[in-house]
Amino acid sequence: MWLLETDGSFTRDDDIATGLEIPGEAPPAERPADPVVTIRFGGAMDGRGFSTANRLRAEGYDGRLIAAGPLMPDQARHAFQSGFDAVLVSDAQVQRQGEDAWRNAIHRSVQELYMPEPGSRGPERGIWAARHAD
Amino acid sequence: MYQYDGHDQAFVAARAAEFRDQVARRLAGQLSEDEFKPLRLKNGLYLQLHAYMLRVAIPYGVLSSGQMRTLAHLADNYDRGYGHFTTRQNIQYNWTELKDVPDMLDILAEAGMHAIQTSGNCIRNVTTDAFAGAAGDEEVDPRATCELLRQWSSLHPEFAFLPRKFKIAVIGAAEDRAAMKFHDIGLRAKPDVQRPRYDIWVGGGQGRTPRVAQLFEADVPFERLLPTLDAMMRVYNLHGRRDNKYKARIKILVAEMGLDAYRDEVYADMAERDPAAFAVAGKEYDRIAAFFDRGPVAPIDDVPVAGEGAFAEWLDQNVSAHKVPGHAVVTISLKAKGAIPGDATGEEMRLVADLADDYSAGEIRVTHRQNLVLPFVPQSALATLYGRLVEAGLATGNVGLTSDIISCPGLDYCALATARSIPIAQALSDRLREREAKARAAGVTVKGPTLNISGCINACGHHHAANIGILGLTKAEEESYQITLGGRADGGAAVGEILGPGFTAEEVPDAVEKIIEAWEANRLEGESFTDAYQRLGKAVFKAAVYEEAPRVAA
Repeated sequence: MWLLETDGSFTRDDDIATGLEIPGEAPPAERPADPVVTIRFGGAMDGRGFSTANRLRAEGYDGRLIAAGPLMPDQARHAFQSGFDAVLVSDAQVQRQGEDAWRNAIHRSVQELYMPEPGSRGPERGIWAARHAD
Repeated sequence: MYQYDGHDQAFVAARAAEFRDQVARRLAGQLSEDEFKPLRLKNGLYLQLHAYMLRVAIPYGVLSSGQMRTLAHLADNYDRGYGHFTTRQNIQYNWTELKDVPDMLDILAEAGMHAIQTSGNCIRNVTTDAFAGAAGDEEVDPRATCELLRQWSSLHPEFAFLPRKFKIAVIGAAEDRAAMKFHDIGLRAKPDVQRPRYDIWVGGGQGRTPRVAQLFEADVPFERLLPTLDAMMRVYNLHGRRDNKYKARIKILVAEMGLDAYRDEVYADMAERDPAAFAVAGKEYDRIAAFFDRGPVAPIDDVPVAGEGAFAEWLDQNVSAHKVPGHAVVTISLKAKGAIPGDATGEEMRLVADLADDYSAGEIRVTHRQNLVLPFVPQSALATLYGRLVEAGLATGNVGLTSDIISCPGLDYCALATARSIPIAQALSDRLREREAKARAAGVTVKGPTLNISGCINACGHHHAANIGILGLTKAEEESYQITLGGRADGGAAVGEILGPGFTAEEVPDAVEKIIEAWEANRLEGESFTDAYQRLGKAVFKAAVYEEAPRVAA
């Protein structure tokens, strides 16, 4: 398995701590106490995992959040900007989608949005904040 | 109008570069077509019957003359010399090649334009009143809210893979000229002490399950607008149906959950959150609003303008009252006799850009009825402007008449269509323009029912919201056109009722003419089509259309 971190580092490791795994379909009824939570997306088109992560952050979960499932490199920024700390990628995904595409996923995406999401781990600072800094 | 700063410019350039990389990876096989599809759709790129179609965003329908010339350049160099203006105030090019699209996006970015979220399961281009900033009855200029929402929703990380597409419209006047209640979320901005407050409507839509939106909450202060929309989107993202694309819009969620339960979920989500994250939106709203507050024209003396013949018809139909004295709002009809509704050639776009520079402070609007507007014309220039429109063949005086038809592209272009739309619109236009000319010559005030045509149940041609709606279907491998009556897109929004059995393409003009004749024969003085329909009921129209077999043209 491979792991993409918010700083853009992308490394392969056979032993990745994924902690408590929950489905992306719905936020858990109670805030997990586990230090690591992996949210598994049901499909690349199923964006519920992004809202589930955002909701956990809003509820105060401050452990490590990992996104897993059939995501594309282009969705890495969505994950980080929704509150994830890392994206778990299978060997098969890396082989087909290209290691280079994952390694460059952050800097090839649009990095600075108008408004950063609350709980964002993304690279952006926010254009609105920059415009009204004083 | 709003002007891009360095941030906006960098944002659209970064998006164009991102898409160029996505196209390269698709061509290299690193992205499967299944993976590439949502990525290209989020950038307005469809695979249609004959070619890729690129839909370019015209945020809330506002264009500068320079931007219009860019659209003309794309039409001439990357399409077959024309483009199609849509009911969502965008433009689409029907004949693009995948390899050229990144270059088209670079050209658009240089002109401060993009194709962001003109398609796909995300928040689409925010639409509004084409007369915003000019209408006599306006209370709040909706464009500042639209631009704020454009920025907030653009490339939104969390709401980019929704159950289905999501459409927002904003109005700020008593009259609804944007079909606001047929949107997933509709906002009615009202004046308040500093920034506007809003009535928020939810769950409207067309497609195969047409619904008029319900009031979610009235008088929401500006500070709570974005926090509320954020929570409304999240509850939809988490709870909207994903098992059936025809039941995936928010209108179905609200209907199945019930409005009260949906509202409770939204408020519960908001209760967990610190609204301070949205605090900067107030200053941003003020910055944006300042662009629109500096109206481009100052009051001058009113000049009475009158004419005869076709000029008089054009003045009556295409010229509207302006909020700034001495000025008028001019609508340029893209519905000449026999024309394809919403189509314009590159040459026509350049001419409109020149007219905007000469007579309208360089500004142009696209209307949801697929026409163009010059919003700031001095009354003293109307006669000269009309002369130039006549020379260009753009002087048809039929705005608001029945021949001002909305039509989707239908089976001539669209991969989803089940029947042709354009030839039906053209045949109706021929017939209706003749009727309108005769009525006018006889001194009758013509103000006809609205007529919209969709080539399939997805209803891009807004047939549900028309006084007379036409829906093209395929039955037993033959095209069949179903007629609905009584729909309305204005403040009294209503969904039309099916009249009866369908018609062949050739029968449609006769059937429509009989409906209009039945209205004219039975209406009270000054009674609108929908009021007459309400009072008389369907039976009168049904009898008029079906009692003798429709004549079939040879």
